[in-house]
Amino acid sequence: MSVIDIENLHKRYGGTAAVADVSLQVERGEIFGIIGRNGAGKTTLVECVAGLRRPDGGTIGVLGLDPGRDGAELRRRVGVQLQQSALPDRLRVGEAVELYASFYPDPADGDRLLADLGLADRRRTAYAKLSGGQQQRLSIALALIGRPEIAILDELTTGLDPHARRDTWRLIQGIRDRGVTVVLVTHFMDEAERLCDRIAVLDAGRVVALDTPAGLAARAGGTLEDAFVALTGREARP
Amino acid sequence: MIQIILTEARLYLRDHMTLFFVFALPLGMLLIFGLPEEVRKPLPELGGQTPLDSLLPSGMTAIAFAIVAAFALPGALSAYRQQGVLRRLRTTPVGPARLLLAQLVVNLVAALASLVLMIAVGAAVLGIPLPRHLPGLLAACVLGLAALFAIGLLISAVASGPTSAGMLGALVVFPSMFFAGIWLQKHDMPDLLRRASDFTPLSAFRESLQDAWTGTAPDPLHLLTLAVTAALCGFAAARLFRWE
Repeated sequence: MSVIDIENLHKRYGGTAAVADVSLQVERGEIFGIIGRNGAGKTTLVECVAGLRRPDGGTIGVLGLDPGRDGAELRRRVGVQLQQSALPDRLRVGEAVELYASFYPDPADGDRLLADLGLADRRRTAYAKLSGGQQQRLSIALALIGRPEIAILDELTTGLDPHARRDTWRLIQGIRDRGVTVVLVTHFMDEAERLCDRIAVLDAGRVVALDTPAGLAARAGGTLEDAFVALTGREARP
Repeated sequence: MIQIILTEARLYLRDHMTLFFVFALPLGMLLIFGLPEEVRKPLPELGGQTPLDSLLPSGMTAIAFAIVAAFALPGALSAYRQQGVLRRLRTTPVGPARLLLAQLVVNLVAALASLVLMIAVGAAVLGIPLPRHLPGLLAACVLGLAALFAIGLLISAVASGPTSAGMLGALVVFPSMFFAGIWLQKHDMPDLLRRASDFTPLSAFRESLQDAWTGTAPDPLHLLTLAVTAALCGFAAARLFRWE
């Protein structure tokens, strides 16, 4: 059963098409990867799904809801982790988790989540005083605090050291095992290979391939990275 | 909603710079300028009032309110927009409008607290009489806060970040303070300037406040100036405000 259903999605900024005619389905309980070069339209695509941007054409169904019309219901059931930092400098870790927990009817256990993300001893630290990796992990915690049915994670492990990356991967696998669908935007081939059940490769706003990591690698006769380079290796865009 | 307001209040109390400018600075100036014997002499230009009882408390309260509305509020909101705090909230069931509301509440409370402090410390330390015209005080505060906060929201709407919000705030506040008679007292201004100052919001607010302090009803022209400012700037802010 699909929980995200995108058909013929279009989104333009000025004259350039950021997303051009994308159609795809995400199944319940899978980890769905979106990979592509910088500017390929990955972030725009997930922002449309999260209801942050209004598409210029096509339809999106998320849990049977229209992100443009049923935004309030959608935001209760979908957790989003965005690329940039997004908390006031002086807000402390524990306070941020408490605040975000108050937004949802049935939040997860914040202490448990912070412990899972290795932030238990940072509860009283102000956001601005966290390292980049800690800020990133806090932002993952906030995306999961509302017990979402779908978690959209943009650049999940950017800025994390190898240990933190692996801990985060385990956490993501853990929430998937509890039935949460994960949409993962990533730059890292090892991450996509390790975590994703299926991967959409985006190039210039279009889906140029959609398959399992092994399927993509086999098609290129090499690794996932070989497949990626072959699929997106056209003229470099400015 | 209560959780957001409490969180914003907590962050406000951690921002020592803002606390200094909103509370310590105006109060300190009231105490310093209120000490010399001179300000205790009745002046014919003030209708027989002393500067201590009329000009000083209203002037310092006007400064405190202007700092809250034109610096503290736009500074916080534009920083929240620039850092993506508002955008992040758009992905939660709560939405960024509640944060804007919480900011307004916290800053309103700060402004009113600073007024109460001004009245209390003025009375206790300097013997300044309490404001005598209570309906006038209420009208001045309601319309004055509406006008000044509307200006603050307009600054928040057009500023790209906290730096530009600070510059716009200064651009608005310093000329406003001049017209409000903070540096050159109003009765020393040339006629034209005095007339013009009736139409500037900070001056209109300060005069209404001064009237309330000395026991006169506020001039309807001043209240009208405040109401029109609130409506115009509020409308422009609502049209121009962006969450991202």
